[in-house]
Amino acid sequence: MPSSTDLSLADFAAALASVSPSPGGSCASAVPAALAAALVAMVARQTAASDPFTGLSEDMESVAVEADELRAELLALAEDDILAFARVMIAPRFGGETQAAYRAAVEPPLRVCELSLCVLERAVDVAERGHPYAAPDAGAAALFASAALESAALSVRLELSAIDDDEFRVARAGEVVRARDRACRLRASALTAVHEKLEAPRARRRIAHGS
Amino acid sequence: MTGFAQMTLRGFLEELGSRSATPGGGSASALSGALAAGLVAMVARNTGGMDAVATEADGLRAALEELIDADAAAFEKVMTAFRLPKETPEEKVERSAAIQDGYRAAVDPPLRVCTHARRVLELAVLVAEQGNPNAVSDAGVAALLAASALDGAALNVEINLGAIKDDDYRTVRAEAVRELRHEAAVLRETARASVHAKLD
Repeated sequence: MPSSTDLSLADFAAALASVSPSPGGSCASAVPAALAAALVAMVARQTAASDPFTGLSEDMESVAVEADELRAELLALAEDDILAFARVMIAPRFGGETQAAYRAAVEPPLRVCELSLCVLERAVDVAERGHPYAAPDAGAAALFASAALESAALSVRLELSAIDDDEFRVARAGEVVRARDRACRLRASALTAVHEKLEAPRARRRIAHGS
Repeated sequence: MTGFAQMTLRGFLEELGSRSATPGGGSASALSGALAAGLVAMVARNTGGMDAVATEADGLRAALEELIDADAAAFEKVMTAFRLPKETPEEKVERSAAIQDGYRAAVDPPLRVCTHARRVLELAVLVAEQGNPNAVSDAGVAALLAASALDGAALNVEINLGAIKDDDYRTVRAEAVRELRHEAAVLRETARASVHAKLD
């Protein structure tokens, strides 16, 4: 079977829809984060191209490269998540091995949370400094990154509930709470910047610049 | 143009991240909605007596996959109109009319993403509340993805509406989008409350 990121979009969505629990919501949350990273890269590239040879274009080129790296890692995480899930399913139902599998299964969604936050920070940047014609794309990036983070947080919570070690559980749960708080503020900042641009007349000239 | 739904996830994301304006946020929103519909169907298939929900979600998934392409195609049409000649007064009038037609056509796909995503969100609430409790986090993810699809598509409707000169046309659709957004926020909260209650 090909890896899920090498499936067509239609086949991946069909695999989600099938009765099999894997791939499921946990794997699916890495995907919107990767979509968000790709949109950030697009807006950064369009902004750099619209205003070449400036400090802004240099910054935006770097943002695009960082977003590409985040996207690659997120796609790899979608795979890791499926493998971790499979290990939980096959682990013996008792003893240390099961706990080790549960602990390992927490890591991919926890990393999706962290990376979504990185994507979200860059979505705010391109919403604020990016070209107005791409404002809806920057906004969509912020929406997807925060949905990805919230989704991954649900998966972390589910996996943590099976873990015996209180200290491990409390520490990880705390990380998620902090990430969600920060994501909430970043999402609001991005959307404020996007709406300001949508209301400005300059945004209506989006295509003239895009072509 | 080949169908985006037949591209690999990796390949599609590569295209999305490129400088080209298509595919953009509208297509990405349609994909997010399609993934949400997929998760709703999975939860429904893992629950007894929810065959009709699974079937409806499959239909929404197919419709949203088509909108990945439709959004990009409509936007290309606007860009083509902008490249029409504008030397003579006649050309200017023709170009301006083609641009207005293009924008109207470009409002339609993201608006349909909004209405389909709203239905996916309703079904996500249903499977969160009545579906197999073991899959409740999948229902929660479906609700989050459907809501982000709706909100993301709404931004695309709004920027395209901003370019349309017909006030009546604009007002009706702007109002529809506001309403859909509001409903989505309420449904998303309902799903969240239900998911968290079951996870506790």
